[in-house]
Amino acid sequence: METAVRITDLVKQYTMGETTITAVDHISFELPVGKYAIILGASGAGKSTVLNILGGMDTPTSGSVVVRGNEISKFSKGKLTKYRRDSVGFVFQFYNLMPNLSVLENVELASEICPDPLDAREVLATVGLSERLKNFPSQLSGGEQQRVAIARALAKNPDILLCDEPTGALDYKTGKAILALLSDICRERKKTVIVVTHNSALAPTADVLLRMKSGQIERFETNENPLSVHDVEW
Amino acid sequence: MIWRNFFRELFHTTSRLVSVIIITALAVCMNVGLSGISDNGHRILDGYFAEQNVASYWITGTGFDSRDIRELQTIVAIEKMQPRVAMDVESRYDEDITLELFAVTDYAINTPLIMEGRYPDDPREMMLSDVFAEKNGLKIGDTYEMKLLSGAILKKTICALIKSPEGLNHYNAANLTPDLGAYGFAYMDENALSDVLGKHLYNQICVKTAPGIDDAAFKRAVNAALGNKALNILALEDNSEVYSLLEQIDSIEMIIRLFPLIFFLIAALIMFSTMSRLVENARMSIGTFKALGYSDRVILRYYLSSSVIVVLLGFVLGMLPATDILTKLILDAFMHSMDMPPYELLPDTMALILSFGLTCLFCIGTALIVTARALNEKPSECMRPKPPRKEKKVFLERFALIWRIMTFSQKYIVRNMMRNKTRMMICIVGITGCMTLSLCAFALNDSINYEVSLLGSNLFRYDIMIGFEPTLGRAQYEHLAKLPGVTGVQFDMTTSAKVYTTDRMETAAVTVEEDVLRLKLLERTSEWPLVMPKDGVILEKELADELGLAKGDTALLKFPDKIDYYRVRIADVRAPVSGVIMSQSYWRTLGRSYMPTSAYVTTSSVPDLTKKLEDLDFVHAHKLKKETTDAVEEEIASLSLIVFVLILFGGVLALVVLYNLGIMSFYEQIRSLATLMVLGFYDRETRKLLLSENIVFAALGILFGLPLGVELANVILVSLATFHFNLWVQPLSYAASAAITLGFALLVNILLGAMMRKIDMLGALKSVE
Repeated sequence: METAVRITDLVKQYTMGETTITAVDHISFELPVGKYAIILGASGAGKSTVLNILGGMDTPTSGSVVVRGNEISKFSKGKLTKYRRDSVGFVFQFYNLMPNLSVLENVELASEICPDPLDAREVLATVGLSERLKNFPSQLSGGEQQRVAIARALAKNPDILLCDEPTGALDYKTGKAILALLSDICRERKKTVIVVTHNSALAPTADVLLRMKSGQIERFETNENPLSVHDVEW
Repeated sequence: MIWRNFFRELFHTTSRLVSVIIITALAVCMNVGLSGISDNGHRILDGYFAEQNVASYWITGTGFDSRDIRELQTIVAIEKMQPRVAMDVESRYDEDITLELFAVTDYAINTPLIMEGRYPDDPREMMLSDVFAEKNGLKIGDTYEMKLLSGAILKKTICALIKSPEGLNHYNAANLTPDLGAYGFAYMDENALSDVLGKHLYNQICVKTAPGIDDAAFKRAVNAALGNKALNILALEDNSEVYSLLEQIDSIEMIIRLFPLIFFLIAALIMFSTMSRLVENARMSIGTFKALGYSDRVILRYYLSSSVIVVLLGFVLGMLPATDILTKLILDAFMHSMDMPPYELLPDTMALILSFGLTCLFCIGTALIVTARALNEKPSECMRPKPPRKEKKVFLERFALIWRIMTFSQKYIVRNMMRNKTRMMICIVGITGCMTLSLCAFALNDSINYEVSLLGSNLFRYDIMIGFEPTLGRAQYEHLAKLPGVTGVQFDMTTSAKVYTTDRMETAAVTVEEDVLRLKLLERTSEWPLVMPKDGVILEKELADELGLAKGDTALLKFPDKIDYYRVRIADVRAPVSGVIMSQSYWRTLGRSYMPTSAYVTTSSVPDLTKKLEDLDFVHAHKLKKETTDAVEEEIASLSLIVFVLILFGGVLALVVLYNLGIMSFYEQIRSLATLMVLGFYDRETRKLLLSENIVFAALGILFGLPLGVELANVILVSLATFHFNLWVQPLSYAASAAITLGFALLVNILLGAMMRKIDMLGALKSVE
């Protein structure tokens, strides 16, 4: 099976004055293509750092990160931008939509710049927002805004979809719907999806589960028969 | 702990506060500095005039005696009188050096300022202009030999080196550039010259009057008292040798007032927008402080403190260079050709108070209002981010066709510009201000240069100006045209006359010109050749206004040498001419005899003719055209300096306005910027989306600034009435001022672009405001 992500001996340290904080401490793992992976851990475990490095938004202190055959840990700033542009879809806890752009335009903002985009309207239909194309983010609920963000990430037709606490700002029901959408995308479109969360109840829904603690991988589990997010409660 | 937070926050907002500090400093500097020119100029000169008790009127005539003085004493307005003999003498050994002698009864009026030495205590002593002495290598104790008009030789010993308010701008018709080495003055006791006019006979009486008397009534009273003996009554304000500096300073009063005003308005806009947005952005902190239980007073003080720091820093930074650099630079240029005693510049207190008040009002006032508004909200409301404004469709979207063909980035840019209309307005106003100031400065510069060039190319078409001796005869001046090398001659005759209407009288210079003028025209913009009216005189506008005369009216002329009155018709009224001007033919119809006093000649060889003129005994003085135009240019140089300062300030203003608004926008959009980066936008694409609006604003500002700049220049030129300049703008100046404005906009974009590159994507996305 093709490897989507291979991380080898990854270290990320932040130097703040005289103290050095090790956010990620010598971790290694591999993810096959098309899997729904969850990185689980408490605040400060280093899970977001891993995600940011995977997304080309941060660079490792040492170690190697290979995404679909590209060793992004060796990329220059410009190459990282190109990588983000062509290969990564990112979903944030706080949506980060452009307030001045309508729903459709927000998606087009992303699809416009990548080589092989999906049709913005179709993607928005997938996330169930066909009726809200002309609305502005301020006119949408949190869940709807997050759907726009997911649509924006998807429209780029990325190799890998990275989601940082995508339900952190949403209520229980809406959160579930968003997670269901993400896992559907993974299964139907064969996209590699990595979700970072602190919610351990989601553990059984993942194909691959990474439990992180203090910058290290505590446990790496694969699950042949993941549950649907509708079957778990928290 | 709240104050520790204060200083940390201050540190984070430094880049935004700095631009407000700079603009405050600029506005204060401009206001205090420019207004200090007028303030200091008036203070220094008024002080000098008061200290030396400068005369209120100079009554010039012939043969004033003790009876005349007794007559004058009956005029109530006169507080003090100083009869004296005033006369020009030449250096015994160099006829190009002229000295004006004043033999006075006492030194109570027009008191010379003794720089070195003492008053004369002997008729053989005199007090001499210190600059004249220095340039001619004379010192106290030296004896100087002079030649009177009669040919008699006068010898005086120098007992003091002096300056005099009467000699402030010592020049005459033949000495337009005040060369204090060639044209000096000296004061001595009346006995020293008593054998020239006769004992106790005088040709000038200086009087000091009570302040605020009626000028016309006073002149009538003097004329009544002295009869025909008074040839000229010159008020201090009309005595250009004394008063021209104040007149020059007053002529730029408009610029001094108008520019700081424009500046302050723009500065106020910036202060207002920045301070309100800084506090607005801190709403959540205000809510948090309230929730923690801090009192409103403490919070208010907290948020006012940063505006107080801005005001204090901006005020001090603007005040420091205002007087000692800006005022000094320009005032020194004005004083340059004046013979002034050393002076000291003081900050203009009124302007300081005004500037401080205005900056306080705009900066602290804004912070106060916005903070108070936030404080009035409940803490819970404060802590929640303000609900985002409902995004509306922008105007352009209504035009579906245009909207459809626009690219995505263009739509983004348009939406962003419309996002904050106040910001857009301020931005455009700021750039318009810059464009207006710089175009105005260029236009002034063009107009001045154009007028000066017209002076040399149109008004003055001669090579040499010649002044004749009063003993000139007809054969002699006709001989001038026949001199080898002379290609053209134009004569004129100047005299003076009293111009009477039924109820008013003014003394004026009378110039009799040839019927057709080819070598020296009347105005810079005169057509060539200029045909003089044959049916009347041309009257200076100012004179016409004072006499209440208009084109077509008649007036009476009275010449000092004749008892008769001559009725003349006013054929035209023109602003830039001086006194009464008429053609030779009209002069002859009055039945007056004609004898030129000066000539304007063109020649094939200036050096040869100059040499020949030296030997002609009827030539009193001669002057090259260039010397005359140089003198005018010199006078205008100080004006150009102000123009330069304006361009500089206008430019810096635009830079600060754009930078300030750019940086405010930058911080407010930092999340959007970071999102774009995460989406994989390249730096140049991000820059294009965020910074294109500055170029659009600049373009709009330039467009609005075009008519405003021209109009402002026009207003200023009209205010510089003494120069009679017409507005004239070179096409290149439009381009240059637009280029400067655009250049500043681009510079700001480069600065902001550099900041964008340094954005910490993750940090920006993490912080939720």
